[in-house]
Amino acid sequence: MKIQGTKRYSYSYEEYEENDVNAATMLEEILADEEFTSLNELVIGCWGEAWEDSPQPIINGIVQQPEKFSHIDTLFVGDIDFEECELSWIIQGDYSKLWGAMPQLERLVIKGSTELELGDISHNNLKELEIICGGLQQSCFDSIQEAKLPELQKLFLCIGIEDYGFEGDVNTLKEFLEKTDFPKLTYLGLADSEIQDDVAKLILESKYIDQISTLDLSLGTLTDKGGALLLEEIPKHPNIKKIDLTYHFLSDEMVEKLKGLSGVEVILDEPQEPEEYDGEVYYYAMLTE
Amino acid sequence: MLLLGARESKRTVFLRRAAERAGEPFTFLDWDEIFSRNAAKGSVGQNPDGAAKGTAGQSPDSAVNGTVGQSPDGAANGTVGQNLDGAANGTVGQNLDGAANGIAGQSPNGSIGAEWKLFLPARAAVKIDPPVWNTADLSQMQGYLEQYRRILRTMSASDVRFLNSPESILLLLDKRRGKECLQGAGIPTTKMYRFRAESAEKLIRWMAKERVSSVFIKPRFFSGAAGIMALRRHPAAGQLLAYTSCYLKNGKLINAKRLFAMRETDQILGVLEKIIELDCIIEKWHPKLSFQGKSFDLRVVYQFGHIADIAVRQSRGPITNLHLNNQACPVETIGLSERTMDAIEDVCQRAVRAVPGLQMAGIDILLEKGSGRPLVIEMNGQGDLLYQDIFGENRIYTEQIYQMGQQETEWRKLGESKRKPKRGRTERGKQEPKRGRTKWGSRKPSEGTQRKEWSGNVAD
Repeated sequence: MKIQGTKRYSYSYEEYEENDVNAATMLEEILADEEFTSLNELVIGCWGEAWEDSPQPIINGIVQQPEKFSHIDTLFVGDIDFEECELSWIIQGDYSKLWGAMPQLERLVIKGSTELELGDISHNNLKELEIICGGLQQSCFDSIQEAKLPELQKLFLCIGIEDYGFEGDVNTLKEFLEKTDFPKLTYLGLADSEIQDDVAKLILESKYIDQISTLDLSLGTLTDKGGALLLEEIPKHPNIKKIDLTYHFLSDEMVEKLKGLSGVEVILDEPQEPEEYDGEVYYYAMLTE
Repeated sequence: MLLLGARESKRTVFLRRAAERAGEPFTFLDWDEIFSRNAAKGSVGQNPDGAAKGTAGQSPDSAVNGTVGQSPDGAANGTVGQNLDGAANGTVGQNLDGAANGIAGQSPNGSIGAEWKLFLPARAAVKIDPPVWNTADLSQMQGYLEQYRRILRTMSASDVRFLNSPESILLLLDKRRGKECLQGAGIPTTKMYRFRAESAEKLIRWMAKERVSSVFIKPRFFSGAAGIMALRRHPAAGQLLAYTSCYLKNGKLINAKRLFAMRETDQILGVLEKIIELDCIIEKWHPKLSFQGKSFDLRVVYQFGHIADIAVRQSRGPITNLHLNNQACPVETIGLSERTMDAIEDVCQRAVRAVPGLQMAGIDILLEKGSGRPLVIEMNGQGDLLYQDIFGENRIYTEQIYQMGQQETEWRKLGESKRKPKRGRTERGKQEPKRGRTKWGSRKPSEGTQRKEWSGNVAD
């Protein structure tokens, strides 16, 4: 029988300011929690001074005592919002050994990319992988590019900006789309990019375009240029049922046209307007502020 | 009753609408009138739109017509009686003119109080709304605000009944005094540091020394988001990050209607220096609860002893004030527990009671992340404008009109019975309007267990 239960473990600002708590004490508390054995989903919130300390003690705890986490099929590390810590300041950890320690894992969400290491990824069960960050560094792209994830159905990556760790350009992403090999992928999200129009074009030209049912280009600087491409190309790919464009810079006219795409659910929430400053126009991706 | 406010503002339009619906006589006085007289720029006669031209004179039901003009009260009060008489006769323009020449002309600085009294119907209920400032230059706004407060200080009057007294409004216009007052009354508030920032550099040094990583810097006398900076300093790396609605242009601090995120230290320090020059308080940045990936705080309008309405202000950034285009929604949508709602009501009641002369307030409250405990960010004696209400049933202003009408009637009756035999004036047989939301709609019991969706709309 499949266990169904979720719990978020998190320290409030007051707690870690006044008490000596950290990722190591959080690991102890999780393991001592009576409820824990009945969970299948583990959410790690703020483990203390997340801008200074990584959640490594928790990851190590899982690696060292994998049997105690064998009921966890869904793991979120870093469910921390900007009120608690700037996204770009969250220190992440090294997940290289996690893949082998949690063969049952189906969903992994990681928030924050500073000091994030994914290592060699090889996992026969993982269905969903999400990384929410302000800028994903090259080493992470490399890891995912070479990953052996035969069951992967959903991939969502925030590309982000240079200031926050993204070192690449269009070619990085082109190569990434060419080299990855996820035969079961149905949800592809390359989001939060300052070159979101280019990203749209790359995905429309990639091998995944006839395979996926959901295309996620949210949180970035998508303009009418990308919108026009979608209008033209999407009707050629009836496999695509849903497009997430939340947070976009599309004009009202383009929004109307995209809504008219038949057989596709298009999410167009949170329209943005470019910022004008001293005569220049600026477009910002969402997770860069 | 009289409203002192800004002519085209939504506050004026919707309070007037409520008065018309209720059939209450309503006199309006424009702040521009007061300011132009204060500046002694000549007489009001040149201002054809003379504020006090008033509905009062035209309204047959007018309280002014009925009692004051003829009453010994008015006569005893010299100028007021004459003025009201004038109003009733429809000759206000001339009359004010005379008054302005007589008083303001002679002593442009000391006479504002006397002058403003000229506009007052005796024993009237009076509401003071804020002026509207047509400037984005914050140091200029600082000057306007000073002038505004100076005038408010002269406005105490014993023969009117204020919705909120000028003293109470003044207290709350000062973020430092306002907060001290609330804290003195034991009300849970966000923390205000004792540290007084003299310069950007000193503030940063203080943050480093005290290991304070996140603060709000707020100009003491501004309202809304104007001039506010949310500042973070990485405790280890020293790196700075700021969110603010202002920027520097030709050395001037300009307020924009959107939020900027700044990462460049020099840029941050430049803006910060100018903000600090405005005289600021430094507050702790308390992590707020979030809902569906957006953090939020609450603007509670509390009046006449109960909560009239609550707007939820959601944002992906740290500054949630409404006019920065953040999304506002009714409180039902976020499903707070009954316990939390009761705690909010209790905090609001105590906060309003802590300020003498205050009947209505807009109270900004955050729910602390983790504990969910309500903390008062600040309280505003003129913060009753909620779009969801005016574009809905306009209950807040409808209730104000009703209550001010009641208070006016009672106040006059009291005066009459003291000084004169009863004149057989009938009560205003008004029906009490809905008091706003006494019930909170469907409260969802699931607060705290709700988890935001993981993907897509996960916010920073």
